[in-house]
Amino acid sequence: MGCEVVAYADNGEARPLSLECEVSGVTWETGWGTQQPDGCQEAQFQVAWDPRDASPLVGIGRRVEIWDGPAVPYVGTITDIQPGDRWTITAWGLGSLASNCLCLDGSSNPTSVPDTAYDQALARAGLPWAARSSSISSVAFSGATSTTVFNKLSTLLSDYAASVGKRWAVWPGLTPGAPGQFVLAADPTTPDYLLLPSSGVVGVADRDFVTHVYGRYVSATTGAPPVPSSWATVTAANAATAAEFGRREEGMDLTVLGLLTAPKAQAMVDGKIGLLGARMGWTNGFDATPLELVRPGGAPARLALVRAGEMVRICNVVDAYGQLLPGVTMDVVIGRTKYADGAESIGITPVGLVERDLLGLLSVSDPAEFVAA
Amino acid sequence: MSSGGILVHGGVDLSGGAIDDLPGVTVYTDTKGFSTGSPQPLTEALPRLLLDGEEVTGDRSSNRSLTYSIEVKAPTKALLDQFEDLYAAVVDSAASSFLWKPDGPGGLGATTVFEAFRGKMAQRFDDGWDQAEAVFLRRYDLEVPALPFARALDRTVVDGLIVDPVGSSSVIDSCDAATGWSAGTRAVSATTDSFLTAPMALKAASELDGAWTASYNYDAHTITGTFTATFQKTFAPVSMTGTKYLSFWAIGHTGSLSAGPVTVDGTPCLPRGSFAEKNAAGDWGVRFVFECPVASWTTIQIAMTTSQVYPWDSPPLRMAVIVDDLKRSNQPPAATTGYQGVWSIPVDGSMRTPGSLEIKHASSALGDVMVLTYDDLGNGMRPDLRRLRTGGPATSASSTVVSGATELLSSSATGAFTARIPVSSLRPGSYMLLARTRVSSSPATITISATAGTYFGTTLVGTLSTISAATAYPSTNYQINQIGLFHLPTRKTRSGAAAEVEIQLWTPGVSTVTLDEVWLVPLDAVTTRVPCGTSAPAAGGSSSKLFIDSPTVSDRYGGVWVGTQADGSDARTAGPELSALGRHIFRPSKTVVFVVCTNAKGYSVALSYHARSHSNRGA
Repeated sequence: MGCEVVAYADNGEARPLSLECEVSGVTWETGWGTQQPDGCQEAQFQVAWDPRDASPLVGIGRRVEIWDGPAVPYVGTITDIQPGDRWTITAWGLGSLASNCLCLDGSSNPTSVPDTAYDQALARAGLPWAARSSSISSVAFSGATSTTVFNKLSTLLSDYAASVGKRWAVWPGLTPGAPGQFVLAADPTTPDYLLLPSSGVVGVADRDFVTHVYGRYVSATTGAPPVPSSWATVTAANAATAAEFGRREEGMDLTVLGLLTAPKAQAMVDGKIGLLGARMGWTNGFDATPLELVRPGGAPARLALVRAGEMVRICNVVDAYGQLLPGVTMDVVIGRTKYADGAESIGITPVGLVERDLLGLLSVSDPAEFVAA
Repeated sequence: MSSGGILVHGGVDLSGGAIDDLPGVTVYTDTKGFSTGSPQPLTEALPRLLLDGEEVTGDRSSNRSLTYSIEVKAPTKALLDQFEDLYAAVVDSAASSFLWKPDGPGGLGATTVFEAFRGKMAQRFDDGWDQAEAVFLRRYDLEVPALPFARALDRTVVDGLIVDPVGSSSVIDSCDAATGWSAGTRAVSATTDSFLTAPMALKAASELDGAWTASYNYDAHTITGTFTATFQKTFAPVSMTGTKYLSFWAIGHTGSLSAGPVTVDGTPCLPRGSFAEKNAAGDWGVRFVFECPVASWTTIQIAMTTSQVYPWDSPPLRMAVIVDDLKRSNQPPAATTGYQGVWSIPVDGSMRTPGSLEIKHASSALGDVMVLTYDDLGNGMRPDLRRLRTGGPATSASSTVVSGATELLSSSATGAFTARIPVSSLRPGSYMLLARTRVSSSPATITISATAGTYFGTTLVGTLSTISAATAYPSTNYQINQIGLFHLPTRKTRSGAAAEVEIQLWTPGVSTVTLDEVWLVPLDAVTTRVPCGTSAPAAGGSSSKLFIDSPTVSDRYGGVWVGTQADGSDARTAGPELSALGRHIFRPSKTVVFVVCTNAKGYSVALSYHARSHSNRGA
């Protein structure tokens, strides 16, 4: 075991668990573009302790971290405690806490302004994320600042991110105890790692790819309360892919977002096709050891620190025709990592693995009714 | 066991000796079928796509299994059953020690300990068991799992590692002239040499006497040429009183270089590590450090070995070793001001083993303590960077800071604190950059930025890696902050290439941050960081003693304890205050220990561990 699991007591004290009980089976996942809150996701570990111990070391909702020496690759909160011979503890990353917070302004009215919703969630609900270092967006996401119904912060962040072709995630801070670091970013375009020619080959699948996205949205409302009175359509296309592999059309229902301007609706379909990449899905992930997964400068990967959202340049490529192309490289963005502490390899799944739910990815979050009040 | 030696499991003698409280009961272990099993290597095989075979990785082993049969003879049925009660409890216990002292032609060997866990015990019902029972004789078959590697009975203790509060050193020989130096049959010359820019140094070279040893590799069709020179000189008596460390700077003309043995009047000196250092003219080499066990000496012998692998059918390159600047000092050289020190500890045995450390100061609280242990690869890796500083803002010397000097960080990359590390002394991997800084007025939050790049001279190869951290200063006291992760080198270079990694550090837009020391901590190292306070030591308050106990079979959780008493009688867990917790591992043959105590000049370090071998722990 190289990593330490540190649970936080209700008084905020850090308790490195291995000083008080036996910890085993530490695994954790990170995600990017996964339809769940990205960043640190599920972590699991087993502990063996004397059940008569009067001082419980873990509790639902308490913070838990994984340390790799001075680095902190994982932070989350405990969601499940399963007693047994060895107790199994499950945690989820801090990003998941956004689904516990509503988008409210300082007067508890629903808001669709991402900056306001974010700041108020920190101030009101104690969301353990770092204060914004820059603006996400100070512009109302829907037709007006206030919405008629309540929306979750996670929903607003996801829909806003999609409209600008980005994704959001929450990562650990640099030091133990630091608040979660919110990141809103597009997929990287330069490789963070090289996968040397060895075991990693990612196959391609023709299912679930799209070249044209049509978005139907509400373009006008009437009356009070407002009801849709007019609808319009926007299109985003990747002509090059369509020319090579044939046209694949999918529709995207934007009407649930309420009244939208044409540019905003266009941004939604542009953002989605950008994130989906108008390309084939991948058929498999791969396992990589530090012998094969290296930084572009040649330093071997520290497996515990490999994150989803980083880009891997795969030096063994199966092309869209299923041929192995030695000497040709392909860049994939890591969609999920799964690492077991002490393991010699890490499981990596690219963003856009074929098991993805394309229609799910093409829908906006439900029931996100960003209808202007 | 009659001829196999002595076996004692959980305090019960299984080799015919007396057993407490069971008079007349004797137990023998059958040498036939006795086996200590073997460690099971855990490996992972990944198929290679374009080539044959699988890459096998893994450095862990799984438990071994001790299997043996015992025969118990008792004077009464009651005593026979009492033995079963006694021994079954040992076998059933969560952890026990299985001691083996093998017999041999020279008598009993050293005691080997297998750390055993709960095992299986089965009574044997073979032919005639009922008649045997009638004469109070019973047989059992046992299968007991144990940790894969055997350990020594007693702990090896290394203590007396002390950083003197005030550094002092003096040059024994500047090695500018060959006068008085010899190297056995080898010729010694004082040279400026093509490898050196300036000052004279001692050189022994293969082309001068044509003598080296060659070993042939018939599979690879290569020859490994090894060249050793033992430099010797007799001085007027050299007193080591107060300066127990001997050190010298050296380079080899070929890839690998090792130092030792070093002897003074025939007594071997203890290797205490090596670190990359530039000589006065700016050439990279390695300073080798030894601890001198005698108070005074006249004749020193320094053996230096260099080797190279060359093709079967081509002549070897020249091989030479160069030695310069023989010094004695009271601190391990470059330990700076007594707040940080580095030692290389010889570790017995063949397998890694958990190690414990004690860091103590007689009167001062230790301050922020950072402890690193890592394998000594002989490449001179050290985490502290001020000693490698090549440029930056004006510095002021200070005897009250860790590094011995401070500077006001520059507000732009131009004029930033700059340090250069030879790529040869870095292990490719991830590194955490830490800095000890303070501000003049607080509270403040200031961004510290850093870059890393690989250079040949002034030419950057590839691009710079950049990190930055918004650093909160609640007070104007010095604090250690993590700035971020670098993956180094940013561009790998071939073994022996004269490349350097340059680290720069500055505070964009502000110039109010005073820098003390910068550390580049490899994540491959085991790191523990403990704040011990800076007030007067008091039980429950600031601490002058730190104990880091690594987990063992008998102490499953280990611990990190702080207190004020040397015997640990007021030590409490530092768990909630830790910002890094490492389970320190000592790996043979040498492990490096690097310690920073920001508030305790002249602390001492003691280490202890159970030496661990494959199956037979030698004396």
